[in-house]
Amino acid sequence: MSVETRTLVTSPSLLMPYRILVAAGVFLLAMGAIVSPARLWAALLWGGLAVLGVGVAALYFLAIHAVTGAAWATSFKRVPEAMTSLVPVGGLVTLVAIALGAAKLYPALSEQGAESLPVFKQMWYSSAFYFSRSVAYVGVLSAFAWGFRRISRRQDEDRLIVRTYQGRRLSALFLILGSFVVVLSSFDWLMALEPMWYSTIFGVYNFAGIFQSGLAALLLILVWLKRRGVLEGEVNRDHIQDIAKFMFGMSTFWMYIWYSQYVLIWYTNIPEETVYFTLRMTGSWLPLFFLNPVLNWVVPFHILMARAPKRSLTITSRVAVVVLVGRALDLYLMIYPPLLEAGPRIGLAEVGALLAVVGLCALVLVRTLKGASLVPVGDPLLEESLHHHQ
Amino acid sequence: MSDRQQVSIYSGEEEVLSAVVELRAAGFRILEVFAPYAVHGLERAAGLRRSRIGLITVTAATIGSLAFYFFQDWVAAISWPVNIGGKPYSSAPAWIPVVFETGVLAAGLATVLALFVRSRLYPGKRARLIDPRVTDDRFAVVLEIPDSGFDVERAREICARHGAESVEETAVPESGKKPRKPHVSSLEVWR
Repeated sequence: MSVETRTLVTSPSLLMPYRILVAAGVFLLAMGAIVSPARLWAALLWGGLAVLGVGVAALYFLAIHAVTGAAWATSFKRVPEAMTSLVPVGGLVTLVAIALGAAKLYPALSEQGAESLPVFKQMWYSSAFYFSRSVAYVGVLSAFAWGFRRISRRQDEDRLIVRTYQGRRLSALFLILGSFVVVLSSFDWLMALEPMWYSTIFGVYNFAGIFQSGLAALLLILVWLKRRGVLEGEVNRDHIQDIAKFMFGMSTFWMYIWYSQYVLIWYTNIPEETVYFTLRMTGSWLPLFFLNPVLNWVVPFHILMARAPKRSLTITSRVAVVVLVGRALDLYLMIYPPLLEAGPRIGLAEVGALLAVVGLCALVLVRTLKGASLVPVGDPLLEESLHHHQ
Repeated sequence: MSDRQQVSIYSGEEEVLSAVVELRAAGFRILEVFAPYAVHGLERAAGLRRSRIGLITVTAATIGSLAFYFFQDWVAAISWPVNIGGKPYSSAPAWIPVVFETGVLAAGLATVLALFVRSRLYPGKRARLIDPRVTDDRFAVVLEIPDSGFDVERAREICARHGAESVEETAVPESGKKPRKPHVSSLEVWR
């Protein structure tokens, strides 16, 4: 079976709703900036990190498959490759949020806040070091995203097996370097919101959430493409089942890490550690705190346990939506509690950030998908992937 | 019930797969397919029912988890309450690791036991292979020969066309019961 080069064709009307979403989101963000300027930067950080996370998850997805030599996902690998283009977009939004909102978001970066910190943390959070680190994180991840796409696309033209090995080497490097970036950036961008609190597993916890949300996004995009008759032959039920299985596994991993972080802090009961959970388990934060594991683990775990639901486009895509909402809630619970003393609030800025994120992701994804053949015709593993079955 | 069967031997997985597909399409009933390793797509081609062993796994996991949740609660809060770090006697977060472990343990043990029972594998059981080579490099398809209406020539012709090395009609082994449903496994024991 030989596969022809194919590109995605879209009509302007298809993308219109997403353009409107972005416009509405930006408008609401601007309104939010007038009403409550303090929360604008938190909302941007929220949206930026959600997008960045999905992009980073796509990098992990590609890297793991390249390093292990797994072939099953090759037929639709252009989709995770397109998702990697969310890395620079989400990274840029995040950088804008922390550059302009640093004084409001990060106590450690303000003059008074830094005085109460230990010497090492004062040095770690010195403005110059902090900002150059943040830029480096986004730069490193974006470079990997660019490299992954470039190697894969060049293989379409020259069909050299060497490209597969180049991709494999780059992937191995990413798994090491990228993991350092994910861990350190989650310390710098999220844990630093409460600079006196620390948790060594925090980076792993974020990785779990990132990977889980990325798989949910991948599944949604594939179902969307499949329902429109694109990639109809390239993505079969067994592919969908395997992605759902992956999502099922990662949501259990997320729960495991969530619990590991919680139980050690609960058990040792040291005030400087428990402060994080105390804040989130009091008042009106409590329902959200318990909703988080429900959306991220209880729902996906119990629904996706049996075989039939994992093979259903409708059920898997609904579960994926639940997981994405869960990821947004998880990030909300990491970012907002120290900023909102009165309890959880959703304002113009937050709604705007959500709308803009969804619209922006769709536009960027479609744009990148159109930039290359939908099927990686030069990949030697393509044939095996097309015949994938359980 | 018939006491005869037809056994055809193949040397490659493509041959056995295509033979199974055509034999089924021609209306022959496949009793067993023997293969030295798991052949992708063979279950689907032979039209086999999916294993229900997952039901046993999930039931055992649920029982194992719940039982040890309540056992820990009973030990720590009712039978012998000990104040640990000022925590409540009944502290759910502390029970979770054991609940997880016993859930996994019960699920694993029950699954293996169910497999042994269902396949009637007991210590000292002697393997009866339809052909010793099916554990090495040959594949075998076993067709049921009903008391009437079995077109031997047609079956032989289909098997031969798909590269069967040998085709023979034999009696069903005496002591062995007939399998209730056809199924495939990579290291099958002939009953």
